[in-house]
Formats: sequence, C-alpha cells, structure tokens
Amino acid sequence: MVYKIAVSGRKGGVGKTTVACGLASVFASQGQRVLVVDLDPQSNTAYVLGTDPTAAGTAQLLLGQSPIPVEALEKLHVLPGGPDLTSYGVQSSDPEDLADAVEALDYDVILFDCPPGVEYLERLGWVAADTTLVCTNAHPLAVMGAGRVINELDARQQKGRRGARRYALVLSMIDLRRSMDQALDAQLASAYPQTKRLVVRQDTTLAWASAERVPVMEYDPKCKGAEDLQKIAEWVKDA
Amino acid sequence: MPRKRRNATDVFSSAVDTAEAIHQRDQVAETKAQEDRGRRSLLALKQIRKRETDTRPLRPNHVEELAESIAALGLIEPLVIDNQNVLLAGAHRLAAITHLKEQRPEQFAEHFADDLVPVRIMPFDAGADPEKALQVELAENEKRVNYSRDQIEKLATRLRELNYKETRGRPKKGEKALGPALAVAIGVSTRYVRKVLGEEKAEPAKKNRNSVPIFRRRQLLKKMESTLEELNTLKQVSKGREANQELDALVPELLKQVRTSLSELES
Repeated sequence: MVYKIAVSGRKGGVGKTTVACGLASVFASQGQRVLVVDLDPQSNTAYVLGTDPTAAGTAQLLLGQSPIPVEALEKLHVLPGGPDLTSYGVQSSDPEDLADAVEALDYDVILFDCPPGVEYLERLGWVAADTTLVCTNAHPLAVMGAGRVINELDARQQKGRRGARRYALVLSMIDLRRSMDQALDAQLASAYPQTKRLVVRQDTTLAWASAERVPVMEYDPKCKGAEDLQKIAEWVKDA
Repeated sequence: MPRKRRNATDVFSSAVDTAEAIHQRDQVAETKAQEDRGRRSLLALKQIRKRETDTRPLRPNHVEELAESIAALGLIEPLVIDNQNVLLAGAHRLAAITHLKEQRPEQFAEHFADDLVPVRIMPFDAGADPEKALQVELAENEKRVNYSRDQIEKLATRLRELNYKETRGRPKKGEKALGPALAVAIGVSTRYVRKVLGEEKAEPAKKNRNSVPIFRRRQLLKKMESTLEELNTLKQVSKGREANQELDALVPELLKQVRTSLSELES
C-alpha cells in the first residue's frame, strides 16, 4: 500500500518542513521510494533536501502537466513548491485535484508538506492524504493553529469528505526543561483526548541538516531528532 | 523586579479556546470559498465534463473550422457549464479547443494559459434538472439566429476597419483573419462567412463585365457628338478641298445618327 501523509499545522515555523523532509529521509533509508510534494509557495522543501527549489513541481502537477520530480537521493524525490502555487489556475483547482493527480504516481510513500496559512493549498494536502500530522511547538500561537486544523479535520470527517482518516499531533522542538513544553502535552491531552500525540525533541542537528541541505538520515541517523522521526514513521506504518 | 508569569497551562487553554472560536469562522470561510468557485470565469480544460447524452452529433468540419477561428482569436463566447462542471452549451467549441490543444499546442497555449478555458457557470446541476439544461443549450444555440447577408457584410466592413484581413490560410504575423473572427462572432462556420463575403465581392465584377462596353460606347458617342458639332462650325474654313467638303455634307446626317444612338442607349 502507498502511505500518503500530509504534514500540516497552519502556523509557520513549527517544524512542518523539517518533519516532512525528516520522515521522507527515514522512509527512503528503509528502502521505500518516497516523494515529497511541497505545497508551500516559499518552496523550502526542495532546498532543504539539497535540490533545486525553482524546478517545475506541484503547481505544474495541479495544472495537469507532468513535471518530473527532482531527485535528492535515488529513492527520495521532490516536487518543489513555489510562487506558481498562488496562480489563478491552482487557486481555482478542485480540492480533490491533487488527490487525483498523485494516483498516477508510482511511489511507496508520498508526503505533502503543507504551507502555513494558505488554506486552499493546505486543504489539497489533507484531501490527498490518508494520514495527517499536525505540527505544533510549545507556544500558544502554534497550539491555536494546530487546534484549527484539528477542528477542520474533525468537521471534514463528520461530513464524510474525502481525505485523511487518521491524524496525530506532532509536538515539535520539545525541551522538557522549559515550563511551557512541560505543560503542552497535558494541555493537548485534555483538549484533544482522541488524538494521538507524537514528539520530536529539540535537536539542533535537525536544524543543521536543513541548513546544510542534507537529508537527516544521511546527515546523522543517530541524532535525537532522527530517533523521534523514526518513531513517527512507525506510527504511520502501524495503521 | 520581573513580572510574575501566568501558569503555562492557562496560556495554552486560552489558545485552544480561541482555536475553537476561529473554527466557526473557518467553516464560514470555506463555504464562501466554495461559493466563490461558482463565480469563477476560468476553468481547467480537463475539469470540464462532457454531457452523458449529446443532443446532437458533432460535425467534424465545423469543429475544424471553429478550431481555426479559436486559434486566431481565442474563445470569445465562454462555454456554459453547470455547477458540477458538466458542459451545457458549446460542445463544438469544446471539441475545437481539444482539437487545437492536440494539433497546435503552441497556439493553444497562447490563448489558454495554464489550460484555463473561459466558462460561464450556471447555478444548477444538469443531472438533477435536465429540462433546465436543455433550455440553456437551446437558448445558447438560438442566439445564432441567422444573420442576414447584409448584416454579415456590415460586420465585415467594421472588422476591416480594425485591420482584419481576408486571407486564405493562416494570417501573417500582426494580421488578423477576418473570416474566422466573423464566424466566431456570429456563430457560423468560416466557410459560410467566406461564401457570403465572396459573393459580395463577385457582384460588382459581374456588373462591370456587362456594363463596361455600353458605358464606353456612350463615352465614344458623346465624343463623336461634340467632335461633329465642332466640325459643323468649322465648315467655312475648309473650302476648296473636295474630300473635306463631302465629309462636311455628311456631318449633319452623322450628328443626327449619333444623337439617336445615344438616346437609345440612355433610355
């Protein structure tokens, strides 16, 4: 089966791209053929994975063309995002278009890196995925963004709309020496008792891997962040 | 002295509450976004769905002619679709656009950037309301009530003023093709337009062929008339020359004959 995972969160800077690219690296290191679909007009995903963020990508796919994904590793490919995602053609696309477009692609794992803020693009990712990871760090603004996503995913599920049936919160950049980080898990547990919570600890290695544009499992497969991401990959596969 | 902090749990719970409150607005916004989609005027070609039952078969010639005019001008009249993206009117135009995309992709891209096609979305579902769908289709097709030849010629004159040229085949760079433009504007085939305009041009030529000799003859007779009148006044001067005196004797008779012929032509 193909795993389709949307990494979402609404707020910017909560680790969406790091988690998406980190998971992609984990799955690729396990021998799966992985594609990361970047839905962000900022086009950071391809950059982080050491490829060309200006190449044709997700926008062209949504416009019915057949862009060739760029290759970060033999088994890790990327469809870059970019400003074309804000074009009229993409904005007016049907929420199910991305879901339909990726049906034809031959990969074992497809990750959708959702943008902060831009709801019509984020929705394309939710609808195309069967699992959604909602990222938040230990800050009320991030929790607010994650809360909105969870509420929307719940509403979609109640209405029986197409899209992710399974979702989890990813608590990112967690350092339990800080009081907000300590309170976060308990708070989310009480606000969203039905939702699985996963953790990625604060780890500068993840930041360095992104900055040096190397997939994390190539950069340092033993770092704390890589460990946590592997656990998340296990949860996804555990469906 | 540093300010005393609130409990970390409290700061999170007010964030969760706010997320709850914004959720209502998110829902409203999503509904509105969907309504807005209904007001779009451009739709990706691949999203336009064909009717399951076509009320009339497509005429391949007409499709090709439309494709030619669309290549020249783009699509002037938007396709009409229902709120499910099912085509209501414009089957020939849709086929022509598809034909263009397959046969002349560069010209297609020139007029339909990102594969987006002008559409008019009607606010109903043809599947649920087939009668309304039929009405739209007929109304749209009725619009091309036959333009009279006069009307077509008048339109052609206006287009020529706008630098549209009657050229066979593809227009040169900077030139605009008259026939296809007119055909699209009034919803008939390019061939029909050319036929009408061709006759318009042929008519004066026909008249000329018949009328030129008569006209020329009148011109010559008039010249003869004035020449003879002048000769008549010069009679006295040419005394002593026999041949000329004989001619002078003939002049009144000739003049009479020329005038009779002229009046015959003029009647």
